[in-house]
Amino acid sequence: MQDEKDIVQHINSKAFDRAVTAISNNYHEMLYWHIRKIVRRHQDANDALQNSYIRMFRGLKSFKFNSSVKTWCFRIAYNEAIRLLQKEQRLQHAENKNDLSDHLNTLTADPYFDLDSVSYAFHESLVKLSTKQQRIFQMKYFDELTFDEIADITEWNKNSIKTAFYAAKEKIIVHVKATV
Amino acid sequence: MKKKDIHKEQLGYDLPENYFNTSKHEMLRFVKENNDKNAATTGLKSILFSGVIGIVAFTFFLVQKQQNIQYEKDTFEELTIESLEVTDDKFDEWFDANFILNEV
Repeated sequence: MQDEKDIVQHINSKAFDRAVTAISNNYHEMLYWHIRKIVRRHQDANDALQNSYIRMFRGLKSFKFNSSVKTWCFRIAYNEAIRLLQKEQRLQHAENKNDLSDHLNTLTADPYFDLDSVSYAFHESLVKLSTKQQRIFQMKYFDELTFDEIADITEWNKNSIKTAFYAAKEKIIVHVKATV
Repeated sequence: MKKKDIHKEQLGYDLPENYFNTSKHEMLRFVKENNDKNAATTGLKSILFSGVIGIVAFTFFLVQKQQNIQYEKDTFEELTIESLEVTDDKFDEWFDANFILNEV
């Protein structure tokens, strides 16, 4: 919370350089993982994160404090990841395919994907979820975001997010238990 | 467990060595460079914009001037032709009315 206060102070004093540096010090790793789980490939995640920083820097000048800086940064990163998928026309593909081999093919094309350490059962259960469920589950489980934060980032209804998360969690548990 | 380990263990997502440290600095440098470049481009754009406005204003002024000259020339030619129909005894009166009084 202190970190967020520091960022807010920098924004209020129009020290945008320092604000971006503070954002980077606090959220760089989190934002990277958030993007990586959407775009999957390391290079794409790196590009989307870089573009997110540029958007953040430009956006800070008109930041209205309607949400926390953290949520705002995640929303920018989320939009940037979706934009990158749309640009590469992978969004429709990613949303339509629920096939594990196709999912793993996309991942193995990335040199920074460790095939040996993968839990196939976990991946398979993730792939079986709808795109919305996948994103919500990953944001809650890996990124440790609250339901309110997820709602702010994705602009989805909070109750439908809760329902989707518990349904996804249940499906994953059932699948992993049945497979292992 | 660190986020890096969780992502590697459960999703297989690996990273280049020392990625977070290097990428953080690179990205912040890129943002700064991009901002400097944008500031320079904005300055250049305003200079170009002023230049274009100047050229448009000058062209407008030239066209206006040319139209005035043409109007005066046309009027003079009209009067010259009209003067052929004026008799000698009425010419002084006609001349004063059209060439001198009109100018005032």
